[in-house]
Amino acid sequence: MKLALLLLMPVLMLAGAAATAAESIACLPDTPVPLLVRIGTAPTRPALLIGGSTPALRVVDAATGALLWSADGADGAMQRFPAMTAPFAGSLIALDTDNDGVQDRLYAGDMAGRLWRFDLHDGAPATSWASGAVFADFSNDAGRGFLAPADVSLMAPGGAAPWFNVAIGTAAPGRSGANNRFYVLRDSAPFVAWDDAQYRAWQPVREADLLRITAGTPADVAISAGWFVELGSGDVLSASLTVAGRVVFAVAESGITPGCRSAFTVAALDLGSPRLTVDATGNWRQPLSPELAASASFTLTMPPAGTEATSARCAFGDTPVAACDVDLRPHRTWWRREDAE
Amino acid sequence: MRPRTEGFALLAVLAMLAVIALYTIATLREAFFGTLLAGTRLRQQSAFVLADLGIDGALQDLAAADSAAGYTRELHPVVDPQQGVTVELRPVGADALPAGFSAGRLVARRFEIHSTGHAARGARSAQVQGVVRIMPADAP
Repeated sequence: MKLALLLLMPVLMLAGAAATAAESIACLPDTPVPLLVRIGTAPTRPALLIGGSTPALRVVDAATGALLWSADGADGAMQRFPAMTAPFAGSLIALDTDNDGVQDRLYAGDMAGRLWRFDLHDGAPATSWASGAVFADFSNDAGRGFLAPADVSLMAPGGAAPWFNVAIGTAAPGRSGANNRFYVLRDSAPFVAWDDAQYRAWQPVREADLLRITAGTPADVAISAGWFVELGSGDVLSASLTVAGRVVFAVAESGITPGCRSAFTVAALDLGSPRLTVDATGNWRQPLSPELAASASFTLTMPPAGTEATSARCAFGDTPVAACDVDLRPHRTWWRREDAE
Repeated sequence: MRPRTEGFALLAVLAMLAVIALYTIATLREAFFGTLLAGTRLRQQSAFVLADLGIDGALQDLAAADSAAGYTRELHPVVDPQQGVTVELRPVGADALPAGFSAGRLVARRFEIHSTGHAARGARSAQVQGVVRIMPADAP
């Protein structure tokens, strides 16, 4: 009997972990991503991007709920991407790269640890509205997947071509040995829409292509694909926030309790170095107390009008995080004199 | 019979007096225009400084504002009622992808500050300052 229990233990543990994972995921917000889309000849309209399992991705009309577009690895969806075999949760972000008000780029992390990149073709029919593929493949046996949306920021250093930093962390709720990661990946074609052929030719970024960052002195090596930090048992459940070239992210250290709460720490990465910000004792993760809702995220609050404060206060849940306060002071750009002497 | 050169001195004196008078008039004229020019320059400088003050004031207002709304204001930073500054803050757009900041969470709002300083006797100086301010995307 004892031997049977011992033999069954891994199976029971796995079943327990899966149940906990499902409960944990239920604690996280299932917020669709608002978009403005023009699919086919229809006029531009507000829509919602939603992740799921079948189909893996879909876009519905924000007003009527009518299905406008869907994508999946199996037949039945409006667009088929054969590699789309894992479901998507809330790891979705849409960008408007040409500032015309219509989103034209998606980054979507699936629950198998793969980050997808899509270019949206404004006005194309639903069967060819998106081109895309796996941009980075971090699939693993430890159960790490993407639950939190990516945090995308443009980098445009003088004299160099611009790129997107795509910051995203993994989570494996209920699996304490998953050794999650926080990745910062470089997309060197921030403003270029790839077609299907270019996506087919793309070789996904893998962990071996990335630099592993620790709390010590920054490595003096050229960064091409990006870098990552190992988080141990902590899960990344919410999007990071990038402020003035510094990525601040929160890690749920204790998993998610049945009451949907967790003990969080926050950490900061300087994108320029790259370097983890450490305190006087060399610790790079600062604990937030007390426990917060598992659905907590970074918020920015403008100061009340008429006050002397010149920064938007950053908080994670209700807890202030000074590392991501936003300096609101205006900066002079150009100047001209319009009167004639 | 008197020699024909008699009376030459008077003519010479009269000519010298005429030259001196012309020189004096020219000097006075130059002094007058110099004074006039200096006054105009002074008023122009006052107008320029007032316009500059208007831009500084608008930058301070903008740093403490909780929204990206524009405005037009009349300011009188000096006692003289003839002197003042008209400041207009114009929002001119926003960049959805400010470098170094989270896309979708923060935007770079662009403004123009049009500041016109007014001094005595209609002197004016108009300056335009371009400004960018990083703000949360959901700020009004």
